[in-house]
Amino acid sequence: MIQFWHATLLATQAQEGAAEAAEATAPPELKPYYVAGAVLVLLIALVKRKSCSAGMIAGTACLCGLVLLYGMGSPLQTWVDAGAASVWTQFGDWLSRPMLWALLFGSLSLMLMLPLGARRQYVQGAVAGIVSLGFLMGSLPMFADAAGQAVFWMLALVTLVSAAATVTMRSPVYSAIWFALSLLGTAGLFFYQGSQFLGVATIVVYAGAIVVTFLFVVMLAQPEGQATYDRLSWGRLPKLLSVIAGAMLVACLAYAVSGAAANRQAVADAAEQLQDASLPASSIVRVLQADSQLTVTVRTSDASPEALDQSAARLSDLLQKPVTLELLADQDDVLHDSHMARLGAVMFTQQLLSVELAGTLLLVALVGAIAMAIQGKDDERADAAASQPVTEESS
Amino acid sequence: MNEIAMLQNYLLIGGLLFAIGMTGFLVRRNMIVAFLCLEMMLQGVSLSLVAWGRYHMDWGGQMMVTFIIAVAACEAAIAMALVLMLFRQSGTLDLVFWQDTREEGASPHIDTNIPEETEADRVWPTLTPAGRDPHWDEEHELYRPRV
Repeated sequence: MIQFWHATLLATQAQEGAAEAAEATAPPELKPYYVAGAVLVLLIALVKRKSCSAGMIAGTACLCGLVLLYGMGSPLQTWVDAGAASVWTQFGDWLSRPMLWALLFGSLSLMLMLPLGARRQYVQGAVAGIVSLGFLMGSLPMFADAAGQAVFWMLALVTLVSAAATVTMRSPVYSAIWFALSLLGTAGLFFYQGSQFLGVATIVVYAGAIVVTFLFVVMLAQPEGQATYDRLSWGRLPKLLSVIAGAMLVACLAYAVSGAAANRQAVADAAEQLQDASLPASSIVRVLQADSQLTVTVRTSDASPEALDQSAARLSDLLQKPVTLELLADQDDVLHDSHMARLGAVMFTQQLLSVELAGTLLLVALVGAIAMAIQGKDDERADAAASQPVTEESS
Repeated sequence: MNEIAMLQNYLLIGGLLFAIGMTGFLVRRNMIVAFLCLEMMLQGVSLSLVAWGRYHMDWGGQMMVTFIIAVAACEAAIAMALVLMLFRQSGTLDLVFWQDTREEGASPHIDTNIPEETEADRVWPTLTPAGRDPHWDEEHELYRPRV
């Protein structure tokens, strides 16, 4: 749990802290995952409920307490014995993580910017949002090259700022336009990953068709002047709870993400240690683990099986696990030059049934939408006809 | 390693998009803005899927996102038709109008403390004029040489 955070920030302090913790009696580990999950469940249950009965609050508090205890992995007595000081040191450990501050400032910023706020609150919220983005940039791992990092961060900033603006705008038209900008940021991120088709598809289908449909509907359903409900939300408490729920969700995700790449990191470190010319660390493209047996796929031009077996044996020695090396099959190569051709090949061979079903779904949706619109028109005509006969008969 | 850093960055940005969309969906009362936040959640998920696809060198990530885009288009069409029907019946895009569908025992939401409409709110979207002015020949238009 602690590896990711300290690796990005305080590497030396982590080693010292780990040594000290090993020497002293090991305090129960308060896994923030469970805390955040419990609070998230509580909040999402409460947020749409206008009245929270006392029994429900008590029940959910008990549930959160139980989950906390389970998450701590030890009964309450051990926690009491270990002393409150250990928990405070862990709490202080949390405070040093920029992700926590990023989430706090982000929640503050959304709270200020969401409806129910006056003009100046919006500016304060924007400032808090910028601070939060700064903390976020500090908490994420760096890319290998600075130029790539800069491009990624520009795209990500466009996406996130537009997303926050979409959610907090008072006019639905402005929300739709900010959302289109956020889609452009997402499309840029798709291009950065090498998925060219998806970048273009996002721009053409999402920003070009779906957002335009939204704008047409806003045009047809426009209130007279600026609506009050655009300046309001469901109330202060639901607003606060929703923002905290969102922050808790990101906390859970960040915690889950931090442990995502342990195997790959281990294999890459071993490859670095090997200093094998035929197996540079950058050629490792996939690491799968099944029953403590690692299958490592490499993309390299040196294709002799003897060299691969040799490297696999040496990796197994280093990692203390059986390792098999295999070459990346051409059809699996997502970053191949003929990306679109291969995507099309996969789409119409492996995923043919899904593609046909998606087409059928589109047809059904089209027919359904038109049927609903026509029925609405028929209802209107029926209403209009029903209200006319009196005048016709009299004339 | 660069791949791992890229994966974690993308997953976190996708998660943030999802969380911002979720917060907006839970807070906003305008049907259309709520639906936009729903689409934003789908975009967050798409980012995560593409990141995983690249990380594992698997086409499944991009395929899934293609289907997400198709399904989102269908969903948007149907949802917009539904929103129009609801608007016809209620005359407003406010979700509070339909709050009789809430759970039993939950009290209704009543608006208190409605903020005043400031001058800054009294703005309607406008299109900036673009292009050249049409050619206006005063003599031709005003004196009509051909009757």
